[in-house]
Amino acid sequence: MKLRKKSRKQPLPKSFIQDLENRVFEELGIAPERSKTIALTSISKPWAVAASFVLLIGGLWYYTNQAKTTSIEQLNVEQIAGYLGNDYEAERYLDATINTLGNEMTLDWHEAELTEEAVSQFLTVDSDTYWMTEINENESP
Amino acid sequence: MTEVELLTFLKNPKTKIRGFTYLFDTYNERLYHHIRSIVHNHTYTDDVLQNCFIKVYHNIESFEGKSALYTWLYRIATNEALSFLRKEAKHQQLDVDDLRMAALNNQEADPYFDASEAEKKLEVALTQLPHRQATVFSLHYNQELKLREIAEILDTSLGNVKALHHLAQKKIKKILNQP
Repeated sequence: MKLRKKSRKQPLPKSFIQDLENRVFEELGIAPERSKTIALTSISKPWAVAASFVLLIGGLWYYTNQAKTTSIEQLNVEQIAGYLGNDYEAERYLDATINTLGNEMTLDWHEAELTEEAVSQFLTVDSDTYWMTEINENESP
Repeated sequence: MTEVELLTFLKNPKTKIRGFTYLFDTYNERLYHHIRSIVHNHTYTDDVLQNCFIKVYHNIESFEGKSALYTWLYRIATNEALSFLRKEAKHQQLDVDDLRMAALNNQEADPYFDASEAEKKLEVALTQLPHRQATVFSLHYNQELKLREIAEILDTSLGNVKALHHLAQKKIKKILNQP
């Protein structure tokens, strides 16, 4: 709620206001304190600036991390292969990953959007796992 | 500055004086005219207004914020003005209404009373009303407060304020239409 200062009546003489002010403040034993920046002084300014800075840094950190997570979640298999250099080795790792994830994923892996868990599994597949997969496949009847 | 910001200043010991100075600058005129509409005399108004600000400074901590700050200020001003009238009337061995009328009759010699003819007539009409009716009318007309706000100031119901205002309007019309 905004404060209302205007009165319908005529303004009072400044000398009267000054005299009244002198008497009131003298009676209270204090001196008037006026500042043009009353709303930005002692109470709020220092901690407000610090809080704004912390919020800004926090916001940027959160946004950056959110962006990373989102991009990982939205990567499809081809994009992951691309990230790995799209070379022969990468494709073999990818095959191994698809095998690890199961037939369902294998069938439509081109269109599939991997979950965060799937991506995590993919990224932890190493060459040993790949070769083990291949050996197992070769041993199967 | 909003009322909430001003209250924050007033309630903090470190910023209380700054907040009080702002309150004084913001409300001195409005409270002056409100008190004046009750006591009808500059000297009386001056005394009452000074006491009013001193009371506000000493009692701001007890203000709970259940009503708007300005309605609380007007309530203090109203009570101070009425209390002053009762004491002064007793001191001068007069009835309160007689004292108001006497004060009004001295306004011509008052350097702070520079009203138009219409305002003077209205002022005279107000002194002929019971003080509660006059206060309600003055708060609504001069201070441009809503009837709901006046009910808060006078600590009474909205219905009562509506009735007081209606009666006041009716009587003032009648008085002003008299030849």
